[in-house]
Amino acid sequence: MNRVSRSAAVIASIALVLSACGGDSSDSSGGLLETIRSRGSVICGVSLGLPGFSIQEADGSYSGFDADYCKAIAAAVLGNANAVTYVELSAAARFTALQAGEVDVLVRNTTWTATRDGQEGAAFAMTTFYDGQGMMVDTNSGIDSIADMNDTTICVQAGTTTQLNLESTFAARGLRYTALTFEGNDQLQAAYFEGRCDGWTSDLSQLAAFRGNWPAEQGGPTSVKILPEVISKEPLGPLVNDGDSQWFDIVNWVVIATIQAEEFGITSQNVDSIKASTNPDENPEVGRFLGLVDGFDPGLGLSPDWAYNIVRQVGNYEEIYLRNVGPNTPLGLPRGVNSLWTDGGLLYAPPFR
Amino acid sequence: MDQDSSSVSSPAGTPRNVVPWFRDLKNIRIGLQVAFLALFGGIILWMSLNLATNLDRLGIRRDFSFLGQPAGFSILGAPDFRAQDTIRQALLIGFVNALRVALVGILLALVLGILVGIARLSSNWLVSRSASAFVEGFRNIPPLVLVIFFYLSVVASLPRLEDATFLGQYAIVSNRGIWVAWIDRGPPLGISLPVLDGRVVEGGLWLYPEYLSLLISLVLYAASFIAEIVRGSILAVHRGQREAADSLGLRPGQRMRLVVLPQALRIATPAIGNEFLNLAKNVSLGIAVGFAEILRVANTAAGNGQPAPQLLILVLLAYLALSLVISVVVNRFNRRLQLVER
Repeated sequence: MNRVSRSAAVIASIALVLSACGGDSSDSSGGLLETIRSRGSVICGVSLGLPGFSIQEADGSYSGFDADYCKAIAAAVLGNANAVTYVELSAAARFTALQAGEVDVLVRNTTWTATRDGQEGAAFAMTTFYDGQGMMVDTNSGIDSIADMNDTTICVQAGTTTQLNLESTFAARGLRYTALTFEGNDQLQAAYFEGRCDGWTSDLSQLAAFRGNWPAEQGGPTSVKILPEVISKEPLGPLVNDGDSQWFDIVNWVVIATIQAEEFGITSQNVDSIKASTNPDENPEVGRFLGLVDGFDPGLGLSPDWAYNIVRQVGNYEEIYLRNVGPNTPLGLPRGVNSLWTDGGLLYAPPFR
Repeated sequence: MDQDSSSVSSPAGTPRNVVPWFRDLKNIRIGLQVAFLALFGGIILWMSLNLATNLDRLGIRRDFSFLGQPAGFSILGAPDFRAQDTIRQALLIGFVNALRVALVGILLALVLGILVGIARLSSNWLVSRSASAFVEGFRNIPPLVLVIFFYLSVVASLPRLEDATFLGQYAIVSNRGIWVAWIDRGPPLGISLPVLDGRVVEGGLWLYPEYLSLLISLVLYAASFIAEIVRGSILAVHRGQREAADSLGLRPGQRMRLVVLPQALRIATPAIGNEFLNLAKNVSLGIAVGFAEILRVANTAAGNGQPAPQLLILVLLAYLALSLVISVVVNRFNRRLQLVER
């Protein structure tokens, strides 16, 4: 089931005005979880199309890092990773769509910030991807660092933290520039091809995604380069509305489960054999994780095999990463800080007990 | 009242000239007005309470104090606006930008519309057919499509900045915009010439593609309607007026300028006023090409954590104010024309 909607903030605001307290019914009867169970699918807000993160394939299905987390949530809640309805949202419309209840969860390479957590009434689950903002320029532009970028025109997506970081970075260095803003990456890339801007700033993962898929008639991936500076912290992760703690906990622990599975060395390939061979008395941690310990229920409101379903149907963190954005994909991103804490990275799962 | 009392439902024995208060036509009229007002007010109240409840439920603030916060973003075409300036100032710039397109657009559309409208009535086959093609072409395309088309074609047809075309010293043409010599306001008064310096042009007036494409498409769209109004109004002037002008020995040009147009204008004014309103409202289509009118600015602020409902209420009020001002001006002009009528 795929639904594509490019609703603007306008539509969602109208929903806020007209919806007759739509939350009341679901709030009183077990929250969003019950609604999703009776509906039979998770409505997941994704980007307008970002290679490696969420992109619609020719057959209508969605793939990518963010899309995989939509699937993981559906696997945990409904036992079926394909029970996802995708809604494509522009950067400017995403929060309003979430607030209006148009989507259950936003997995849309969205940066966790204090204002968004507070003012937007959103609740951010554990970060799935630690990103940073960078700058991409033509290889033969003569620009080797941001310091060379005085009096330039820079393309950026409207309504993003990227736009704000660009402003503060250039202001702090006393550089003059003109920002050209766009609602979507497609229009932005077209403008870059036309030579309307000297630089393209975005999260490094996004720049890598577009550089990796740079069309040959525009010179291919080597015609553009990414400058060495990383100008911001961009922790990207799923978010839900404030006020439904059960649903928040579920989304949060879906992310944690993928990390924990990697730490245990459980993959989609070996999860069945591990489940069959594990004696919960000898290995209680793995036993609890796979739902083999009688009487252990973390109280998330899910079936005992929810984590098993995630790993079986979608995979652990490493599999999701390598499949979509890793070194052998067009994005070619090394794990870097997105490694387990045991490997010197930032991924750390709280214990399953 | 006599008709009322003769109806069958009138109770027998009631004196003919006394009507119960609830059947008095005057009271019924007042009652209907009050009921309508109550219904209308009730709907507004219900929607406001609904919005407030929903915002509270979601934990979103519902006051306007965010207007004083720093915007954090820059605005295309407003180099003096800094990121630390407030959201209030950003919205104001958006409003001024919308106003600028609306006013310049109205003037150009009026001139172009009158010319095309007259041309459609020309006895020259080529002129009248060209005018028809213009009208039928632009009138029947959605303005949003026109805006996007002109944006893409303006950008695609102009050279890159490094291959920019120079028109003497007076203009630089590239797909990053057209810079033309302009009045230098700062003392002493002079002419500011555009100068290309590396990747940036200093001086001159910057007509950037977002502004140009929006202005061109809105002017062409509105002019096609105005042309039809002008044509119809000219045809509506009585034939006798034309014959009288001829009999006075006026040449065709004089006949049009001195006799027909002044009378046609009187007929055309209210309808043209409506086209002005349409043009002003269509400025909001600038959001499709990244022109920083107030809706675009509000949308950007909403994407960066500011409350969308309040921002959109301000956008609604801004466009409402713009439309009402245009209405008032057109109505006043119309009334002055009508006073002359005999």
